[in-house]
Amino acid sequence: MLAELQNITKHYNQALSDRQKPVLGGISLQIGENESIAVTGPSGSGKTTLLNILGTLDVPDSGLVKLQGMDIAGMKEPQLAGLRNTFIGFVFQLHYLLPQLSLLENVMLPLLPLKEKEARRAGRERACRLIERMGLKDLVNQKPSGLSAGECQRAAVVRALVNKPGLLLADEPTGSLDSETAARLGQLLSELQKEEKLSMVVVTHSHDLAARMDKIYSLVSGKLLPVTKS
Amino acid sequence: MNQVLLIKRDFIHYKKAFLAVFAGALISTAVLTGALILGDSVNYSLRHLTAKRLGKIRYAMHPEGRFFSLEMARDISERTGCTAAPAMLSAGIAINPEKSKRLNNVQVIGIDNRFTKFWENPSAGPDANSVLISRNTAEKLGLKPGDDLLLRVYKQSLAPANAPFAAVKSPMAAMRFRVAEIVKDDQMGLFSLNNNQSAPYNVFISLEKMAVMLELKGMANLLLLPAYEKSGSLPPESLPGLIWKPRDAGIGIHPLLNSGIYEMRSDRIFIDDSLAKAAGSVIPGRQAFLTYLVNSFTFKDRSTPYSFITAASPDFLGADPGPGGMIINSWLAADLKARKGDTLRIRYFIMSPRRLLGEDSSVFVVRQIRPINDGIWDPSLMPDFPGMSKAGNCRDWETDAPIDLKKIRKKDEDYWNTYRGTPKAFISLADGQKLFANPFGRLTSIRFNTSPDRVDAIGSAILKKLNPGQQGFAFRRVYDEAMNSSSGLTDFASLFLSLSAFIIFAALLLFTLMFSLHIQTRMKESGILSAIGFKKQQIFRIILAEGMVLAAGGGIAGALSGILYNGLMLLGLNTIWQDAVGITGLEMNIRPLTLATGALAGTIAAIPLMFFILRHNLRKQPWQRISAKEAGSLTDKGRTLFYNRLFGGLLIICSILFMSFLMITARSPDSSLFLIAGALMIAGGAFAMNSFLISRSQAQIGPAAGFVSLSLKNAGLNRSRSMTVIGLLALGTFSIFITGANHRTFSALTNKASSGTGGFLFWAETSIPLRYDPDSPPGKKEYVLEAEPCLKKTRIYALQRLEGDDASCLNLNRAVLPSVLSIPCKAFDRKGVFSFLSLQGGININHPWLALQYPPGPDIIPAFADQTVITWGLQKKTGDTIFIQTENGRKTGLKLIGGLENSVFQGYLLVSDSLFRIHFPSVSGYTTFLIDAPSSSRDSVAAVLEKGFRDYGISMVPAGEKLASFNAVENTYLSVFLLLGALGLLMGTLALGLVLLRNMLERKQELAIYLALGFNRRYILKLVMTEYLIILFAGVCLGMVSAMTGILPSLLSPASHSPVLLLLLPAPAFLLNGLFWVWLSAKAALRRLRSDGLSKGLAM
Repeated sequence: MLAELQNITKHYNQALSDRQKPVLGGISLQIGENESIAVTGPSGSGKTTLLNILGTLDVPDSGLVKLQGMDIAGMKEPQLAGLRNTFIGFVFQLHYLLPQLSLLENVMLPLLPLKEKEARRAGRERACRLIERMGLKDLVNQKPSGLSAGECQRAAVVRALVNKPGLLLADEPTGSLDSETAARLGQLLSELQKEEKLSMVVVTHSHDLAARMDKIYSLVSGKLLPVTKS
Repeated sequence: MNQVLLIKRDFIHYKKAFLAVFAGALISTAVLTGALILGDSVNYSLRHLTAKRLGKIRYAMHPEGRFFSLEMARDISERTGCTAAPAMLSAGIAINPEKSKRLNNVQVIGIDNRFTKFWENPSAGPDANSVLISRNTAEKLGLKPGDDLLLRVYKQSLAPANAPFAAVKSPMAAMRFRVAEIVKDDQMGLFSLNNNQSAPYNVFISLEKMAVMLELKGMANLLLLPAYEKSGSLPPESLPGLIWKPRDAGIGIHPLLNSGIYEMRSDRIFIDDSLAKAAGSVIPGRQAFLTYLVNSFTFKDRSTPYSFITAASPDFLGADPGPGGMIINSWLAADLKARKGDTLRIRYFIMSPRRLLGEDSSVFVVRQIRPINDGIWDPSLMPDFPGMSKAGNCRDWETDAPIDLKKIRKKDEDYWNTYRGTPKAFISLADGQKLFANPFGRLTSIRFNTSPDRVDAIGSAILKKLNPGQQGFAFRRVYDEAMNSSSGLTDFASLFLSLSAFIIFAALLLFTLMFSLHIQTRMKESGILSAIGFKKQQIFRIILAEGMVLAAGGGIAGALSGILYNGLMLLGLNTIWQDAVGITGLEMNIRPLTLATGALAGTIAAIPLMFFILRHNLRKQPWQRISAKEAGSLTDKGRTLFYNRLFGGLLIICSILFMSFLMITARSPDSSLFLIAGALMIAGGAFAMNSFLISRSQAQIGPAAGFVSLSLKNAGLNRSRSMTVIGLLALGTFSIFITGANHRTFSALTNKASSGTGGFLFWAETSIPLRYDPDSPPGKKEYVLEAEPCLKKTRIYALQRLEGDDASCLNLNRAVLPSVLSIPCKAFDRKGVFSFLSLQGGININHPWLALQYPPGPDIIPAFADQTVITWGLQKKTGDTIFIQTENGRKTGLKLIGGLENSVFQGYLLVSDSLFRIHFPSVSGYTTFLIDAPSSSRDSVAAVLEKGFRDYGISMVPAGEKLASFNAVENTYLSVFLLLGALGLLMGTLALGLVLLRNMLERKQELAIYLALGFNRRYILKLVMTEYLIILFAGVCLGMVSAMTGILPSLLSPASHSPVLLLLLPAPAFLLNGLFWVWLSAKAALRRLRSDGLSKGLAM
């Protein structure tokens, strides 16, 4: 199993109250190789929290997170950072490209923590290929402020894939795009997942995007419920 | 893509934020470097001044109260191969007769052309009728070359003025001169042996002329030497011992007419004990004599006035009068009709305290009557009492003893004319010494048999037994001392660092705030970098590297800007803050090492700040940084609240308890301890306010909630920003309030006995010592004060002064040996004058002055000094002892047994008058006076005394003004601090404005929501203003309450009057200033909302 969540719980402080609000109530999820999963659910249901925990950006209150068969609970920050750099690719709802860097520089950014020269060189080649694949070749020197929302999001996808991760985590990747651009990005993600032999977890409200995934789950009241694809 | 490129891109993208961070680093470094350069500059200027003051002089010998022959200079020149310059130094008064301008405290220096050569471009030197004067003397008197100058010079004599019958009638010599030249500062105009930056008022006259004026021909009292190399084996300290002659030690050996007998006398009338002992060991078969004036021999109803009596060795008399026995001459026996076996009473003067000649008497039995033509009745037994020995008749005696000339009969004049000062009686040496010994000696002559060719050898042998250093014949390394002294007392670098502390603090705060705000804007970026696999450490390093580049750049630019800051400080010190340093012409001295130190210190100071800010911000989970959400658990918040309340409560209680403890236990509490209490209060208050804001942030706002509840809630939700504003204002208010409160002002309270003036009306000093205490009957008579009605209720406390270095804050140089003042302890005790900050254990706190009378050990004198002098001027503490060599050659300790609160005595060590006379008997007369008079007679008392002591160069200042002159230094520093504090506050205000602006821009969405909900702009502005008014008010109140704690001693001190109302003025100014920034930033946010459109604001 590529990634696995076992009985994950998470609570947050309730605003203006002394009480805590349960967000995730003992969630378990298994992600196999080359498998794509969509997680849907109402706003505030904990989808992003689930994705953050899976991507080691947040820690659960209880439960087990296994990546590549390893329990991450005992891992130190540098090891987790290494995992995020080489094993996980993130795409956020907003592109989160660094405004000071050009598109190419943004895309190359994940190569910076790599120590091996060979890996960097391979990463650069892969970045160029992916940029071309995403139709961004002519925009490489543009800063994010000079790109459209769709272009930025595509660049963010390239950035997520540049180190050839095993697991792509996308949090509402089409949430900030118009429907046409969203559909095109959904298509691209789906194609790339297959081309790159990726496992992918997408948190989305978009039925179209969810429908492109192998499995769909709905997160309701802290529980993850499988949804049958229609 | 690499890290350098990433950093480069960051610099371009965040240039505005980086500029603000850079500015913070620049300002803090500039201030820091400026202060360091100032330290260098003051030290450099003082050294430069010392170099001007001493020219090429490296060694000086100035035996206090003693003179040496000019041959000594010649001999030393031969020994060293360099020119030794003899000179004569005395106090004087200079008068411009044309303009009727007088200048007291003039240093009159008798010189020849050897002296002038110690300076480059030497002047020609004065001739017999001309003087050279220093620039400041010329300015004060309005003199120019060719003008006339009347000079009064203190007439010192070979004999100590305090020795019985030694004083001459007139203590002054006056003469008219023509000003030949006004000598420049770098010629010799600044010459002085005192380690003080103040320019002396110098008048140079010809050495020969001065010797004539003082009746000391062929003598000098100052010998100066340049650096010399010829005799490397002869250190200057050893020179006097090698070349001094008996005459230099005041020894005169003369043959007695046709007798083969030689007599040794001292120029000082009485042969001091060390000389007597030395002579005793060299001349075994000596005869010793002590001749004294008796006021009368009385037998029955008959009396013989004013005669001499000699105490002599039995071998001289050929018979021993024995204890209580007397041998009289036939003239006296006839006059008194006394016979062998009769008992005669003698009456004689004794030196009483305060130079009152008391009269005592003693009885002796006549053992022998010897004819007047007997060889023992020798007129040369009479010492050379000035004004007496050369008098033509008894009525012409000029002595300070109160001789009743009416008692002198014709037969007495006949005796004088025939037999001169031939004693009329002999008593045993032991009896004589019991009656007439005094601090100056117990013999007047020593006689011995020798051959003429042995006389010189005997003189030399006696000298060898003496330590020239004990007689004051020792060269001081004046140049080295001055250089050490000029680089030491006040560490101006540290001083100005402390004075600039608030501005440095504000600059660092600005740096911290700017960096912190900048880091907060980059938290999302750091979260993204974490998400794509950057290790926290890598992110930390990248941002820290950027910060370090900024800090280092700011440090280098700041160090260079420090030169400008220093220039401004020097401008201030040379003009409006001149009181702080007492000199003009401070020169900038820039040392590369100082610049490098400043740049490095500025950079290094910024690094830990950046380190902690980064560490604090990067502690959050990556998702929190990306989404900019706080996620402290409830337990965390509860714990924070608990600890804030706990620390707040504890610190406030500690502050109150500490303050109460100080008030109850310390008689004169140390103000710095109260500052600690104030600091505890401010820290406790900050914790308490933080806990309050935490609790408000969690409070539910009900539907009926008003502005205040909503505002407090908002303030609580933006807790860190609110606390930044509160902290900034509290510290600013605290600093300004404390500085202002410690500014010493004077009111009617200065008339109180417990204040720093002691309740005295005037402090007076004379250039020329008064021989008599003007408050004593002979003093009143001498100075014609008896008939003055305004002096009926006036008491003049005359103090003797042992000259030394000024140890007050007016002297930037380190005092090597401070001046010592004699204090009438009993009178001070009766009046209960002055207040003490510290007293050694065991001293009766109700009668501290009396403690000065009891020496704690042999050769230890108890002393008081101002606490500031002890701490800063002397860098000692109560209980420490300062060792000096007194004129009798003994190493004597001045033990500091107590510290006075700021007083007119700043710069002096105070010892009891009785111990002063014992240890410093040669200090003649009184030069310092405290005048106690009703304030209603202020003008008349001043007029009478100024007129009466005009020729003595009296200068009178109201005691309050004298005290204020010392406090002017402190107040000037406080003014500097206030100005720098205001600049710091201005910078703090800038930081405050930036914080508020940032707050408002961050709250744009909130404001947009208010607008969307239908609130009008005025209402929103009011809401925001209320919120910040509460915060600002809290900050100012916290600062003021803490400051009140810190200045409690100042508020309670009888010597100072803090202008509380005046101090309250800045508080509303701070509030208004803060509100202005709030208003400005809220308006800016609302304006932007209007221009951008509400939807954009809502969509943030």
